[in-house]
Amino acid sequence: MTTDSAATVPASGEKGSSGIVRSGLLVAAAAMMALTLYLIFFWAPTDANLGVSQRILYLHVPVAILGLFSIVVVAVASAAHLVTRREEWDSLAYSAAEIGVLLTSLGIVTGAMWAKPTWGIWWTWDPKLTLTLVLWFIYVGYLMLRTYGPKGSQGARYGAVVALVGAIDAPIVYYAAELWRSTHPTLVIGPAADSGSMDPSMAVVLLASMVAFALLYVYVLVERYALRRSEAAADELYRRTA
Amino acid sequence: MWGHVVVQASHDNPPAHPGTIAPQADPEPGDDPDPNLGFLFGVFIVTWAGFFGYAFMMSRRQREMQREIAELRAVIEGRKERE
Repeated sequence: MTTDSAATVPASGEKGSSGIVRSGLLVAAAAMMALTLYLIFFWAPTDANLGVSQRILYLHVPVAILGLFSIVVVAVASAAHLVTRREEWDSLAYSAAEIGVLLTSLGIVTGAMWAKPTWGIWWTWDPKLTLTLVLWFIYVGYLMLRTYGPKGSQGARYGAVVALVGAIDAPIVYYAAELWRSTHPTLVIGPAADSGSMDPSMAVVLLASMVAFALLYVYVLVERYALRRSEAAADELYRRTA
Repeated sequence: MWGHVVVQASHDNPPAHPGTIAPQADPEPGDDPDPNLGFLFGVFIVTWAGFFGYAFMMSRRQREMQREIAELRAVIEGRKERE
């Protein structure tokens, strides 16, 4: 497996069909992001209660949702790795976990920057916020285990177990504002969202932002996966030269 | 202390649920801009800095990896030729 990965990693500058797909993803994400910026600043109406700070939602919600989604990707890829023992699934899980840390961190920070003008405080131990922080620790724990724990297939298996257990947190975070008395706004996106909770024009902007960030997420995930495969190939070549 | 502030926020302030359009009034000359604009721009800066910073680190690391792989392949080829 690792021998194959070393042989299949393209040399610098080579670009096959995957390079075209990656470039296409980047162009689509950039175009969608430009449209979203226009919609947020020039098209979306101002919220009656929150003023311009409501526009923070157009970034905070997609980033937070994708942070949640990423742990599901980690868990599914980890389960596939446990079943098939294929290294590619583990690479996907690791890549999604790293991006999950970035997105969850951004979700927490942008949430705090929304909370300050809205609630008057940066942070409160609200169930949704606390569970999101727990998710962040799960991501960090997964990456620390992979970095400092056992190497090779054993490390991948341990990581897979952490990811599968950690993914239980995702639906709890999503439904936290519904399950407990919470200061966090109720759901505005996803299967349990209240359909009448948002003005249609605001919903359009949020949807556009969601699509833009989803494209960006896929692009970054594909790039990180390619890097992970390169790292695996380099490790294999080091072993051969040792 | 935070708990007290939260209670105040949830009872005294308007509901923090976004999604209701404000009646738009033409701004008067000399009107102060919304004091929360700083938070909005801060969120954009943090989000983009996070994404671009991460993409930059990935791109740099990928270049390093490709260079290392090329060097290691050259070492292996050199050994094969000597043998």
